[in-house]
Amino acid sequence: MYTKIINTLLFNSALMLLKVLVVLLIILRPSFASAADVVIVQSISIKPYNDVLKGFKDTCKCSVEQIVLSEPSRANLKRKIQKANPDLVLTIGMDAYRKSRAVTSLPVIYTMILAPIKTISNSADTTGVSMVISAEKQLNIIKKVLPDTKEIGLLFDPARSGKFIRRAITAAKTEGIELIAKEVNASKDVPDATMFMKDTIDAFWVIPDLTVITPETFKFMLLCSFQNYIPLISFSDKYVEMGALLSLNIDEYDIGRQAGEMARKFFSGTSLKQIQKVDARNAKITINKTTAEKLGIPIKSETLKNARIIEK
Amino acid sequence: MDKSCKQPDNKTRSLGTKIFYLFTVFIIVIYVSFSAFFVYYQSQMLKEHLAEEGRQLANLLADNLKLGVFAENDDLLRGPVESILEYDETILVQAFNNEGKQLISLAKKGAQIEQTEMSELEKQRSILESIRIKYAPLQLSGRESMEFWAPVKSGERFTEENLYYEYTVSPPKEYIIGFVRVVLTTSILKASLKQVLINSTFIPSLFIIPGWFIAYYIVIRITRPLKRLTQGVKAIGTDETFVNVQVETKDEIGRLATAFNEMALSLKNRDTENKELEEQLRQAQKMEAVGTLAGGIAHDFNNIISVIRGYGRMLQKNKDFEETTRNYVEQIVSSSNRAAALTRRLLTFGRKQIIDPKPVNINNVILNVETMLKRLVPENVQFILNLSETELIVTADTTHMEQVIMNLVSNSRDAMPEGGNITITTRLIAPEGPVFRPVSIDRDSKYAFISIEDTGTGIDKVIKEKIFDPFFTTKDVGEGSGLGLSIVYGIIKQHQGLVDVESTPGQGTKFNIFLPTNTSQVEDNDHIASILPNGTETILIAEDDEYVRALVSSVLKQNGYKVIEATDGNSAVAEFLANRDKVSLMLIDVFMPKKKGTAVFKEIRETRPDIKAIFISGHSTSHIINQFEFTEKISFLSKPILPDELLHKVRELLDKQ
Repeated sequence: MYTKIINTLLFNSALMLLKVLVVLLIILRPSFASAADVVIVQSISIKPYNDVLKGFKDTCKCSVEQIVLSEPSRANLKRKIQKANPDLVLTIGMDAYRKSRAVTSLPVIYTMILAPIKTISNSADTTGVSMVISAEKQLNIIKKVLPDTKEIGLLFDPARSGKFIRRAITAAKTEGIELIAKEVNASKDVPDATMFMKDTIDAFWVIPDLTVITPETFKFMLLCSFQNYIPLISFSDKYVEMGALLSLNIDEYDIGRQAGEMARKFFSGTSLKQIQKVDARNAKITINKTTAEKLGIPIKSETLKNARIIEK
Repeated sequence: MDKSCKQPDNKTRSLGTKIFYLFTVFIIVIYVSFSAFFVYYQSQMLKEHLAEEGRQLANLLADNLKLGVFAENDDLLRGPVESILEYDETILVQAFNNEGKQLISLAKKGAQIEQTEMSELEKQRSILESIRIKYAPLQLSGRESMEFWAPVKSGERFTEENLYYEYTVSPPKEYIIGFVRVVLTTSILKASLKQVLINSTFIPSLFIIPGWFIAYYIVIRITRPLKRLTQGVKAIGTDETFVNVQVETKDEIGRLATAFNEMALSLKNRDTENKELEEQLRQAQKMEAVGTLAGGIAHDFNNIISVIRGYGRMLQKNKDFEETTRNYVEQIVSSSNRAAALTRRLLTFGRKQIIDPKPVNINNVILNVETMLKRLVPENVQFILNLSETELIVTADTTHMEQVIMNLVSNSRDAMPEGGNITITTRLIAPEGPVFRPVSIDRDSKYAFISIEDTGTGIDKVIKEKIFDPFFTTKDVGEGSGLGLSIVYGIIKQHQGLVDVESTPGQGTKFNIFLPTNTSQVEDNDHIASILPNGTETILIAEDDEYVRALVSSVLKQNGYKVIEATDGNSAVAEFLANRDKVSLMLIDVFMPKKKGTAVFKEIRETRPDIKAIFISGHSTSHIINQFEFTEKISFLSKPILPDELLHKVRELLDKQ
């Protein structure tokens, strides 16, 4: 009888002690660094960048820690990266890349950068996916959407887009298009250059060149497009919404996937030096139907079916 | 001099003119104030409008020139600049880059650009610096122009981050890339202001001028009743025929007009009354004068008649005359009696006769004047006598009673211009029943009742209350003295009687007279004459008329009396003093030379208080009556003196103790 009671008391006491130990372990656990494989540094929290993040996560299947620079705690970027102690850094946006590169020597995969500029290309532990869609792809789509196009006008800053233009000229010939590319060295030359070529082209192709595109120059080109019934082909929905006929956009999610694939290769033991920098492999089409109607340009229903349509 | 001439002009200016002037001044003040305010307000509005337009043009140009200034491209600049220059007010449009370099400058042909003291370059630098600091447009106002400066702003250049996507981390920044200058002329503004001034001057005049006419009409309407009132007042003042002022409104002026009309009516009535009273007074004075004249004539005439009648009577008593002579004497006496009656009537008319109350039958008094009364009334008036069969003996002065009857009949006649009946009724009544309202009536006595009734127009209650007032008359001026009924009232009161009037307007008037009856017998003059008393006493005769004195002396001497004669007042006193113990009685003429009869009597009575006297006079005056009481020792004998009457009176007085 007494033995039974003593056993019960002992059992209960042991149970109680166990519970206390568990609680103490939880409370007094040491602050270990989070074991994230990848720290993702994002310039700003906007949907296209979040799509990149999503594509990356879906593909990489690795543990990540996200840092958004536009948020108040961005000042602690270096400490945060150190704290996360990752193997790899993924940057989304130019600002994210520059700042991350400045504070860490860890391998970096960049995304959402306009062009692989020299600093990036020379860095050993850096690879990534640019926002550039290959000229061939773009011209191929243009030809499909606007099959009657023979001469396409284009303005470019050789310092920024010379390499792209060289490839584009070659690709155009393949598509049977004459690409009339005019160099501009300063933004203020854009109106004159635009006016110069307006009578000889079937379409005007605006490439993501910061010298050529300013708020004023784009408005002028748009105005010129309307006045001369020349369709304007751009590289972002933003300009289609402003009145451009068509844009060939990057697929942000797919860029994320491309970066994810690179990360996987890295984690599987491949050095980043060995992983080639690439352009965006997919293109999305956005068409302004109202502009098409105003300019009297017929768009095939098949094209419309695969495109984002803006009507305003 | 001038000042004194101008001042009355202001004072005599009519109320309407003053109101109109006031209204005009008020309108002018309003008009000027309104015009000034309107012009000022409009000028401010137009200036503000021009400034707003300038600011908008500058901002519009700055917006449109973004690309042009950015590209510093003349083609891109020219279009927007030219479009701004098309505005009427725009005379100069310029654009500058951020360094102040002029990119384009277009001016309107022929436009004069206002120059400032500062050099153009300095001014431009100063302005651009100001705009850079304030980061806002600038406005400068000159005499001939207004200029507006606006910065040309450009958005932030794209970065790689926002080249593709529209997002903002912080508010979008803008940078000044150049400037625009728009100069507007104020000449159009001034022309508009001039037009506004002209409009605000002339357009209100179109309303004000008719307004003036309307105001003038209203003022005339307001002051017209006042003018009428003024004319009414003037009409009253100048004794013109006053016509009631027309009362047009019920306001203060209307009430004033009503009050004025009432006042004018009151004044008119008062004036009429005054005129009537004046006329009555004149009539009374005339009557008084006629009465005085008649009394004077009667006095002298009575002396003559006294002599003729006296000697005539004495001749009648002479039995020695043959029939023919006796007839002649009778004719003389008869004629002298008629002359005496005529004298009495003259005195009655002049109201100079003395009260000589005697017991008389009222019926006889009425019958005596019947003939005269019938002559008084016209043919269309029927005269009816309804006299009582019983004698109505009252103590009265026959002459006065005759006057009462005649006055009342005359009154009734005048109340019946279309004809009718006058009925005189007499009867003996006891003071019973409602007829005797006056308390003065002695209920134990009997009264002779005399009524004179007509079927005339009658009198209303108001007139009835005043009918016995002296000088009250309803007759036209000159037709009646207003004394007739007051004399009646006075006479009846003197006789302790009462007079009353009953009347119904439209039916007639009835005068009722009540006189206390007397039980004495009526004196018969003829009977008295047949038994002549005589005596031996000494009688002093004071009479200035020689013939009368001789007659009286003769009559008295023939009947045994001793006579002492005096020709005037002084001699009368002297004679009396000389024969004071002899004289038993004095016969004193009231009016004598040197000393009046009353003075003589007073003097003599001081010597002999018991002296008896008979005053003789052709007429009476009130002071004689009032001076003495006719007691046992004093009596009165009116001229013309009849011998029989004289002897009776003398004997009667001498016999009294």
